[in-house]
Amino acid sequence: MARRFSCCAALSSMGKRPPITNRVRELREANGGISQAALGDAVGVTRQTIIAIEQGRYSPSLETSFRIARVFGAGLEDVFGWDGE
Amino acid sequence: MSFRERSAWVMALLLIGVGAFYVKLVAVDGVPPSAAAVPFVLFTIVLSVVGQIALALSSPKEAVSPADERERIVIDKAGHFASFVLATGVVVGLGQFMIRADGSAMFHTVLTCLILSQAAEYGAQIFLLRRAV
Repeated sequence: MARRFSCCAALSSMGKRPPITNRVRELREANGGISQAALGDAVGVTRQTIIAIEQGRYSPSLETSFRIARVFGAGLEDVFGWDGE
Repeated sequence: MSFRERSAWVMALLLIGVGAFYVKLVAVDGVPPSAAAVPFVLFTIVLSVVGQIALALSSPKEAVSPADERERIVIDKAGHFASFVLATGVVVGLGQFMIRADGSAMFHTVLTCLILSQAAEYGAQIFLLRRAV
């Protein structure tokens, strides 16, 4: 298959939904309803990034994943899961 | 809408505005490159500073926060995309000079593509921030 022209690939490659599931919203609600903004502040990302993670449109870095898990006092795999082949 | 996206909107609209002003100076008024470039650069700098100060005053906390990991990816990808727009303009400008030997035309082509590439960069940032990456 022909390789996509790289300037277009620069924009389109980011739209693919990553095969990673998460329970961030569920854990936020279970931990006293911590807000997206407060969680973002706690882990060093914006509220919009937390929203993107919850909606499964963005996979956080390993470091941010660990930070999120630690905020909830949970293990990484309690928060994130793999939904691919 | 995040601070980064609002900033990108301000810069994109500003560049479209000053770009139109530049095109008017060159294409309609027939101003030579040296005379057109100076007001264009001054307008761009002054309006950028004013726009960013106004944005920062409206969201002081977000204004001093560095870009997070998702925003850094967006900024990198948008810059990469914009580099193709600028490279295309430079190649077209050089080709134009080889054929017509018109330095003014080459200057206008390259500067126009510089404006377009910057507008494309901010447009790509808006697109990618909305798409969440």
